[in-house]
Amino acid sequence: MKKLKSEQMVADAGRQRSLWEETWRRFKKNKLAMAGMIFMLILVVLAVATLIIDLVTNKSIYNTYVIKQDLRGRLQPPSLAHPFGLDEFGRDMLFRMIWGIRYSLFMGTIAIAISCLVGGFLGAIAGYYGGIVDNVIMRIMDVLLAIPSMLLAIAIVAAMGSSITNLLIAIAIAYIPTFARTVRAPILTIKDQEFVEAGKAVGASDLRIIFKYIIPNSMAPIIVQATLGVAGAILSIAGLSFLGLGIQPPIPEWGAMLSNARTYIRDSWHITVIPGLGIMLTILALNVIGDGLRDALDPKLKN
Amino acid sequence: MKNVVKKGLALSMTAAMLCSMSVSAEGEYKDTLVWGQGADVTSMDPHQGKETPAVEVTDQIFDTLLVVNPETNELEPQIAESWEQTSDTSYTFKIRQGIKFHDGSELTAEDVKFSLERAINSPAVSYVIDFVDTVEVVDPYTVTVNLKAPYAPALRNLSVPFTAIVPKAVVEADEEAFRLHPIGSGPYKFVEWKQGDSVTLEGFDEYYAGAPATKNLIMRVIPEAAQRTIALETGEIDLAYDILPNDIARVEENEDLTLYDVPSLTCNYFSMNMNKEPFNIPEVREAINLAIDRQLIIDTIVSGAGQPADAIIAPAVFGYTSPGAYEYDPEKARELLAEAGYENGFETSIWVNDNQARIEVCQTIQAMLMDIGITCNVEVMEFGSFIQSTSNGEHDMGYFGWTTSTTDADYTYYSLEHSSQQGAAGNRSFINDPEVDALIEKGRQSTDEATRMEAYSELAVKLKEINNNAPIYYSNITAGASNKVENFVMDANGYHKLDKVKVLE
Repeated sequence: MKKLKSEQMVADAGRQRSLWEETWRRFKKNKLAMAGMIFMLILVVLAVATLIIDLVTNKSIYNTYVIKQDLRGRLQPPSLAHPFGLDEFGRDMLFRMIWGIRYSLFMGTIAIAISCLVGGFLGAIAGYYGGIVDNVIMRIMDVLLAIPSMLLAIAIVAAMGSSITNLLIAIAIAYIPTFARTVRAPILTIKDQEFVEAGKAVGASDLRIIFKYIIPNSMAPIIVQATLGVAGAILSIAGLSFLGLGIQPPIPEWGAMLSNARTYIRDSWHITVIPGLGIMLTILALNVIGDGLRDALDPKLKN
Repeated sequence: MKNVVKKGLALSMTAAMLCSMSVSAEGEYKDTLVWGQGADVTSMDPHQGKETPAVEVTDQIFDTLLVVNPETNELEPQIAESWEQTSDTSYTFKIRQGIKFHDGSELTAEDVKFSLERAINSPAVSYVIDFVDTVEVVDPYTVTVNLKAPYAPALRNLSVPFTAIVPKAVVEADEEAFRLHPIGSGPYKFVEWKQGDSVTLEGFDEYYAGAPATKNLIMRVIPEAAQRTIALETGEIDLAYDILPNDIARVEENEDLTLYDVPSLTCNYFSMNMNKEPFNIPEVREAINLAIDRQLIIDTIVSGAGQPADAIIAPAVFGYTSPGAYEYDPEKARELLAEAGYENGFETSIWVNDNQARIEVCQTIQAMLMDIGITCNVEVMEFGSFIQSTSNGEHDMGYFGWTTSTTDADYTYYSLEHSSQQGAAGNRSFINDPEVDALIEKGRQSTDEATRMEAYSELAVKLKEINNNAPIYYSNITAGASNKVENFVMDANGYHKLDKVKVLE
């Protein structure tokens, strides 16, 4: 460890890597965050596995286990043969839960990636140039922020039609202002520091300064915000599909499963509780990861 | 005891519970009946709000010329004391003397003429009554209705609540005020409408048939069906309309509750848009009908609350004859698809409005069609845009429910199958078949029952060959009530009359 550290101090380009290693070292100490991380990793592996399985088997597993109905066996409670029970159409809940991971997870991630890029770019420009550019961009963001994000997403899906792509766009737009703000704030403090002035002095272009000097130094809050954002986006996706927007049957999206099952809650608890728990655990895991990252990235808590 | 009742609803309910515990059913009745339904009134104007949730309320406020007795299915006098068919195309009605509107004015022939004409000119309900050409006032208590052409089910149509009689003077004075505070001649007076929440009505003492049995009515909007059942179980409401299929057993098993369950006049079906490929090919349409296991849908998703449909009209409707049950034969369906050149199936979609029970049926249909190789997307839409886009013929297939409100086959056959009614009027399979048209017209214009029956049985067989629609099941209409509710009679249309209903303390 000591040797590694001294090497890095010597290595010029190693400065950045050391930050990540340091962060990881501290993140590892946080048991709760690690548990969340492991849970998310399992989900990612499962989601990727289902994608590969679908590709290899040409969706035959999907067709025979995930969406195939067996009405005579509907609403069967959990048993050895079906650990999660059967849903209101007699479909195996376990398969549906596993195949449903990808919608929540990937859609949440993609939506946040889009809003992170767009919002981050807008925030960086606003923060760096200041003045009228800042004012125009940030006031537009304020207007967006003033509209409840769920309402905005509903309006967008309602206007553009119900589809997965529109749902993604709707959620991405709803999260843009948050990222614009998150990026703008650290840039305001960083842009006046000496290394930025040095960059300017050697004649680096604005874009180069923003992306090479400023953004890397304001990564910490963005990463934390993005992790928490994914959690929020998953919840929004589940919420919107609960309202019947975006996901069309028989896609096993968790929010839609929850919504379809709710009329059965008094007689067949398992078909509501299981997707509900799935959503809850995922959000919880992402939140503890986010918290863990925030602590790990905070220089004030270094020791 | 009486003191307690006056203190309000909540207290009286507690009192009712205490009462029933001490077993004192010696004939004390509550002065308020509370019922829960799934949706709010769309419009208090009977010539606007034709949706069942609206009529469930406005039917208590307004009366019609004639009324169909829900128990016997016979026409009975209401505002009209007697009637007479004077020629093929004209009817004369004698108006009962001394009928009062809730504002105290008397109901006369002028009001009847005004109301019928108003209904004819209202796009929402015009289709029920547009067979009427003119309405003449003979004297203050006599009205003659002239038809455009002979129309056999005329009297039945005049018993539909959307042809209710409204006070001319009040409506003409301020139509907007009338919609906010409707005035009719029915057993209950309007008191208050909290939109999205409740409607309060009060008994009308001067009702021609005597004051109603229970003094006050309160309708509560409880959108979630499971919540309605819970409210019924806890005694929050006395009566709950539309018990969800999976709650039926729960209500039946509860010793304090009674389940009312009668065959409705509603057929649930999906239309195949014949203007679109591949639904222009008869074999494809037949294959789709063969692929649906109707009995399985009823046994499972519908929890037994229905019968498999074999025609687009329900058995309780005049003009129904069975053209033979639809077979379930996926093997044959696949062969037919192959014959039509779709051995690998095709991709299509079924549109449905955002109603949980309907979506579930569509999901089952989706799975059944997948068995014969058809990929069918279920697209759930908001009711307004669903109606609009299916009226424009943008759908491949659309899932609908149609209620024969008049209990006469013409109401359904003309709207759903006649080529002149394509689109918004109801024909959403866009069938355009001269033979079918001719049979519908024959049934419509003849006044001889035997001729009509003959035309309709021929029509049913013909339609089953064409397969433009896939009738799935006739739903039952359900309600749950506390055992303390007396004299509640289900109406097959869902327009339950409550003026004779009493609730024991």
